[in-house]
Amino acid sequence: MTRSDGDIERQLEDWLNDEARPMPPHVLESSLEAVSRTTQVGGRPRFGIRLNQRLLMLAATAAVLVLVVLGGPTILVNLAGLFGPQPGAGPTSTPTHVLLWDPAADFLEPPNQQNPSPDRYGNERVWGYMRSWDGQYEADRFFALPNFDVALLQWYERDLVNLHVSRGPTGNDISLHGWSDGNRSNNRAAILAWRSPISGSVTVSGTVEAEDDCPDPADGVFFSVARDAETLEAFHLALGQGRSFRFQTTIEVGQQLYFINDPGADSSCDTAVLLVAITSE
Amino acid sequence: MDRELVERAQQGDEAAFAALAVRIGDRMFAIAHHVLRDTARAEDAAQQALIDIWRHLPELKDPDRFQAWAYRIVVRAAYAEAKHQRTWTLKTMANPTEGTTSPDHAGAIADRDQLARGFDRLPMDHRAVVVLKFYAALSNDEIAEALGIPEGTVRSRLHYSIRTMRAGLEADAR
Repeated sequence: MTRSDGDIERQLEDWLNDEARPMPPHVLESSLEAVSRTTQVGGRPRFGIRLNQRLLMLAATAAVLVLVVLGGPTILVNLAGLFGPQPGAGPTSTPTHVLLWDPAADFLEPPNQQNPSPDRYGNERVWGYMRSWDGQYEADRFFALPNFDVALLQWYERDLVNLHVSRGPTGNDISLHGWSDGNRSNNRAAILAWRSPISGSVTVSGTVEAEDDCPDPADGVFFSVARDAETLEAFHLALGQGRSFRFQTTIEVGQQLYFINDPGADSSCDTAVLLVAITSE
Repeated sequence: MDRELVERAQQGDEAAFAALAVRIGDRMFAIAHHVLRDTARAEDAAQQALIDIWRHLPELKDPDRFQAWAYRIVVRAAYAEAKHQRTWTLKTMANPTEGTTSPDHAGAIADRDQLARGFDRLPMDHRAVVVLKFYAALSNDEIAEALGIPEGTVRSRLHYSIRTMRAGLEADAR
């Protein structure tokens, strides 16, 4: 059978795509860990503190040597007790590698969609696609969205028009749209929730944009980030406006971060597109 | 690729870089794997490439060209990884052939086996051109820039590769 170059090229393209393997998570983790120790070319030195630490360690080592010479092994044993593990100290859930959570990358497509859904590390119930009970945003009155639109990749609730949390059009972000009847106290905010599988410090870095382009006047969206009941970031976005945010916070296993899109006092043109990364320190 | 993320990572924002790494990681690993045809080496190459990308990101003048630039770095990391061992063996991944298949399906599987064998027979620098062309969907001039070779060389390597693949497919069909 004679094949044209185009036939072979198409076969090759299909085969290469089918054979492509995703990057194993441990490769990404170890790479990011190495990055955290690597200075960028032309970037700011990242070892200033460590240099100081090394000088301190050198000084401490010299002091220990002097004490050993002068005071004998008893002093050394006592000093070792100061720096060694404390009695009764158990394992911690502090991560030893840089971990990263990206809601768009973790978003599960049909037929595997789940709410809540796991993260890339296999931790269960990490991502939640939710709505508020009303316009008072209290974490114990956030509810999982029950329905999923397989065509639009949207979590939604049938009786609340336009309310959804979905993977955005580029596949790189999450799209949220709340519901309003015109009375803000009745609003149903669209919420993306992240339940922390770790304890420690995390950096939350993201961009959110009120992307709808509506012919009619609209009041934009009111976006906030909360850790359980505590608001960490809150701002208003007019239509077409975007804003970046970045902050560090400490978190315990099971605590939740909520990314909340409040539609304001009108019920349309309230899509917020969120691109966010949560990284462990 | 998100320009703002690239710009923030250029300024030393590790979280932005982490988000970028998630977005390009799978493709980078797949490119390394296609070029090297070895999972462990592809892991090493992809990791080194991510570190190199972070280190040299401030030198990237046009953030919109981030993706092609990153692919260049991963291909170079794959080349470097291959040089670490003088005699390395090509490993082909077995295709599942269990179960009943229709004649068309069986033919498709046979084609895939032949494609895999033909691809493995290509020199590594030819595989890199084929992967950047047909997997990463770069244009010939982007491939030339990525690999540091003239565009004419890209065309000739593609021509040779297709000819070799065709010869393998047609020989097996006879």
